[in-house]
Amino acid sequence: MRILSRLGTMAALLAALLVASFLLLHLVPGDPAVRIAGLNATPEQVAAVRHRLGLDLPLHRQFAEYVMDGLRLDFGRSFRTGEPVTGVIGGSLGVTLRLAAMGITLTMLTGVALGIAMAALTREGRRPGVETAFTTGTSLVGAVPEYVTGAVLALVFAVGLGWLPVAGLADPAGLVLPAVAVSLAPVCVLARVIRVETLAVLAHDYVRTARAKRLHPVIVYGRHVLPNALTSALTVGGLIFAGLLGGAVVIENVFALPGLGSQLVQSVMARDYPVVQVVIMLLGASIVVVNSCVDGALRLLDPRTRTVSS
Amino acid sequence: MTMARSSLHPLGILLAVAIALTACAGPGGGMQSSRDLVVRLNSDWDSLDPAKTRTTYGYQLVTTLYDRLVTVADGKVVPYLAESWTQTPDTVRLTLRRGARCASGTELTPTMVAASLRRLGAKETAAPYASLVFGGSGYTVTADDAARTVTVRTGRPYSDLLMGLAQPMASIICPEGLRAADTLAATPAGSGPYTLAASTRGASYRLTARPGYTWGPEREGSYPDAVTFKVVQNDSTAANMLAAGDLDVSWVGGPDLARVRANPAVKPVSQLIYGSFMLVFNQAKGRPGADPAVRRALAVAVSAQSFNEAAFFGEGEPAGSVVSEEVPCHRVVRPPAAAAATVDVDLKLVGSTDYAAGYEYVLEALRKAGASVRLQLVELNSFAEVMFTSGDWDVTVYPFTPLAPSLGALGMFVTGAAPPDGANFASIGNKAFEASVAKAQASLGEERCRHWGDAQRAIVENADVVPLVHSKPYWFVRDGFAAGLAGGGTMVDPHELARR
Repeated sequence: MRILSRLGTMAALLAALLVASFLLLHLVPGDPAVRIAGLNATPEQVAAVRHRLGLDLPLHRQFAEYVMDGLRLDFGRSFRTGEPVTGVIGGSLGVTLRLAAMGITLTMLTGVALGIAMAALTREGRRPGVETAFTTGTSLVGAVPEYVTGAVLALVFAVGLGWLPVAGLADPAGLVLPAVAVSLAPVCVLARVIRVETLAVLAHDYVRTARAKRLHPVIVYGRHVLPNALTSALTVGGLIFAGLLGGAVVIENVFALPGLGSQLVQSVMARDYPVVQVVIMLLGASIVVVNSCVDGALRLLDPRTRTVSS
Repeated sequence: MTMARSSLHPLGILLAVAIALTACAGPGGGMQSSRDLVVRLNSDWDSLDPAKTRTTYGYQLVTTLYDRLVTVADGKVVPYLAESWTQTPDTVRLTLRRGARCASGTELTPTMVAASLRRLGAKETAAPYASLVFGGSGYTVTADDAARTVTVRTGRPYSDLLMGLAQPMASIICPEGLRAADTLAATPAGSGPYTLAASTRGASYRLTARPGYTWGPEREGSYPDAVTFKVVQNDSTAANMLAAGDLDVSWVGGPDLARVRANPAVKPVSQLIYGSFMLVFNQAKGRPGADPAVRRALAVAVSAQSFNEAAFFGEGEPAGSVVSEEVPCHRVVRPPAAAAATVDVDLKLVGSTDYAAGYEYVLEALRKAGASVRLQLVELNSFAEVMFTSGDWDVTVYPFTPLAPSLGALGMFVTGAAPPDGANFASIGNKAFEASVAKAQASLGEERCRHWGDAQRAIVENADVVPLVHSKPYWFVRDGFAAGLAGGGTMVDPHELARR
C-alpha cells in the first residue's frame, strides 16, 4: 500500500512535469513556424509549416496529441533538424547521466568522508583553527559557480599541467574534470552537513559507551557513526543530484560534452520545442525518480523513518 | 598552514576519486584518429541539406561534402566543377569538366547538375536562401550532356547569378540524394572532397578524404586523409583545446584572443567579413526613424571606432561602405555630414547579446544625442525574430554578413515588402537605390560596378543604413597545418586545409 502511494505521488509529479514542460515552451516568446519556414518565407509558407506541425490546433488538442505520442515513445521530429527527437537526443542522455552519476558518487564519497573526518578532528571543541579553516574554506569554495570552477580546473590541470584532457570524451579521462567541477560545491555543502550531523551523533551516549569500551575507532565510526550520518547524506544527496543536473547544463558547455545540457541550450535558442520538452522531461523525471529512490532507501536504511511513518 | 591544507583537501580527494572512477568506467566513445586534422565547429549544424541549412556550421560541413559549379578565391569567381563559362546579365552557361564522380561512384553529368539546381529553387523545396542564388524572378536550367554544358537563365537580369552559384546553398546534390531528399538532412549525397565517415551528434564529425578526388579548385598537395569537426561552443574551451593540441584549427574571439595570440605554436588567419555591422532605423510609419533628419542626426552621434572597441575589442575596421574591401565593386561612401543636434525622440534599441557591449555603447551615444532610449538585448535567434516578425524596434546595429563577396544580398533586406510579406525589416523605400541595383543587375564589368557604387552611395547618404564596422574573425592554425578561410572569414575553406 505504501509503495502504491509512493508510485502514485511519483506519477502525479511526472504528470505535473509533463504539463509544465508543454506549457512552459508555449509561454516563451517566438514563433517556431517562422523559424522553420525561414525569416524570408511568405505568410502562406509559414501557415503551411504551422499546420504541418499541428501548431494551429487549439492548445488542449496539441497537449492531447503530445501526451498520446509520448505514450507511444514518439516524440516527433526536431523543428531545427527534422530528425526524430529520439535520434537528436540519442547519446546525450547517456553523457549527462554518466556525468551526473560520477558527480553524485564523487560528492557522496568525498563529502561524507570529509564531513566525518572534520567532525572527528573538531569534536568537543577541539582544534578550533581547523574548524574555522574548514567552515571558511567550504563556504568560499561552495559559493564558486560551476563555470568558474570548470574554467580554472581546465586551465590548471589540462592546459597548465597537461594531466587531463581539456574537453570532449575522446579520452575516458575527459569526464574527470567536469565531474570534479560539478561536485566541488556540493561536496562542500554535504561535508558541512555531515560534520554537524556526526558531531551530534558523537555526543550521544551510545557512542560514549562504545568509546568507553575501547572499541577500535574504525568500528566506532563505521558501525555507530556512519549509519546515522548516512541518513542526512542520502536526504541531502537527493537534493544535490537535482543541482548536479542543473550544473551539468553549464559544465557540458565548458567541457564541450554532448550531453542533455548542451542539447537543451541549443534547442532553447532555436525554439526547438519537441527537443526542449523531451530534455526537460528527462531531466525532471531523473530528479523525481532519484528522490523517490532516496526516500525508499531511507526507509530501508533508517528504522526511525519507518517508525515515524507507521 | 592548517587552513591551507584543509582548503585543499576537497579538491585533492575529488580528483583522486574521480580518476579512480574513470579508470573503472572503461574506454569512451572516441572515434578521432590521432592523425586527423581537427577543426572547431562553433555550434552543431542544423541540416546537411545544402538547400535547407541556415547556419554557418551547416554550410561548413556542406562545403566539405559537396562540390559547386564555381567557387570564390580572392573575391573573384574561379572554376570548380565548371572549367569555363560565359555570362550575360540574365544567363550563365557553364562547361563542366570531366571525371567528377559522386561519392556513390556515379559520374556527374550536366543533366544531374541541372536537376540539383532545379530542386534548389523549387517551391516544394522551400529553400530559405534560393533567391540569393537565382534572384527573385524565377529561373530555368537546361543541360546538354554532349556539350557538357549547363545553362541557367533568370527571369529578369541578375548579374549576381554567377556569384550565387558559388555559394554553398548551390552545392550539387547527386541523383541518389535527390531521389531521397528527406534523408539529405543527415545523409550527404555529394561529390565533394570528403565523405562523412562517423558522426556523433553534438560532439564530432569525422570526414575522410576521397581517393582520386581531382576535380576540386586548384590546390597544391593532397587533401589531409581525415578531418574531424569538433563541436566546441565555448570560446575559452576552444582556446584551451588549441593550446593543448586538441584542436588544430579554431576560430577564437573575445577576451581569449590575446592569450591565443601569445601562443607561439599557433598562427592567425583572418579576413574582414564581406558585409558590415550597420546602424539601421525602423522606418515604418509612426516610427521616429521614418524621418531622414532624425536618422542623420542620430547617425552622427554613433562613432564607428567606439562601436568597434566596444563590440570587437577594436579588432574590426571602421566601415567605409556596407561591404568591405574584400567585395568587388566596394566603394567608400560616407554618410553626409550633419551638424550634431539634440534629437528629442523615444527609441527602442534592440540588440543581440553576442555584441552586448557594442549595443550598450550605442545606447549611451544615442542618449547623449538627446534621445530617450530603452535597450533590449536578446540572443541572436530572438534578435532575428524581433527584426523580421514583431517589428517592435526603432534602432539596431544589424549584422549584415553575406557568405559571398557580393552586394546582391543587401537588396534582400532593404528593398521590397516589409515583414511578414518580405524581408525589408526596416521598411526602407529608397528609389534611387532600387534603380541603381536594377541597373547593376542588368550590366556586367565596370558598368555593373559603377551602378553598385551608386547604390551604395544612395542608401548610405539617405542614412537608411549607416555602416559602422567590418568585423574580422580570427582563426588560429597550429604549427604543422595550413588553413584558408571562406564565407567572408566565417568558415574554413576545406580545399585549403593541409598538413605542412
